[in-house]
Amino acid sequence: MDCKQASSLMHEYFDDDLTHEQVVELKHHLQGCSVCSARFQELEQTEMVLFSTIRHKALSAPDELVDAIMSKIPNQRRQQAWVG
Amino acid sequence: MVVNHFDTRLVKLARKGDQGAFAELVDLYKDKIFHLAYRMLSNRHEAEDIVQETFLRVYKNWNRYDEKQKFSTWIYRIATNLCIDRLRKRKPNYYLDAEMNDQDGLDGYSLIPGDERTPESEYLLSETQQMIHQAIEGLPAKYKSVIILRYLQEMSLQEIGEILDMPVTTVKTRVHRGREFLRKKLEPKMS
Repeated sequence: MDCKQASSLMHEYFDDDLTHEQVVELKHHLQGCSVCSARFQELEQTEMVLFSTIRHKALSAPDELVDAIMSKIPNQRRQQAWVG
Repeated sequence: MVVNHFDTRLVKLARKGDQGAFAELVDLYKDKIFHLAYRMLSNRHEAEDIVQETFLRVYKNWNRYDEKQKFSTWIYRIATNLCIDRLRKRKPNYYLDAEMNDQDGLDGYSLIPGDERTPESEYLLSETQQMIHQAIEGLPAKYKSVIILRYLQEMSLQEIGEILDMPVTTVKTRVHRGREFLRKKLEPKMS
């Protein structure tokens, strides 16, 4: 496996798309290549921070928005009752 | 995201014109859509506009909604498209983005000034969080939407493909490019 292939496998590893055999091959390459090994660690760290810190901060929309939206929706039920 | 039977019921009622059910859908999805729009646009007011516009489109387009599809996929598609439209109207960044395609390398993207941003003092974010948000903000639109759906909304690659109406292979390429972009941006700050 060359470094280019390894790099592409790394991403598939983080997508959870690798077979067991591919994971073993990738590990084998990483053990013998310090450049790829460093890159893998950086990607792993990036992936971790993205998943862990971001989901903590869920933003909320202001409650007034619900009223604002509902006021723009025509009251269909009343119309239906009136027609029917 | 889990298939939600509660959603299905509410959607059925709302489509028939039940306002209470519609209001509940708004309540269930407003924060998620707001969060998505805020991260895409980095602007609170615009994000609020997107939330409103999204629900109005849902209301107006009930006849186009296919009940075999998940409601969440449909509403996210509407919201994401609205955000992408807005980003497109902001000329400079989009121009650069449009010049590139998936076959290109990432190097050109380092030209984008990623640090021109609105202060987020109101949210009192930790340094790490700010760093990540800045990095995401610097992403070109097409990677941004994929990364936000993947990490902020925790969607599967399959679902993202459905929302953005593109093959999963394209979603994957964009996740990979986006992840590389973020790695390069974050790495010097983390070590």
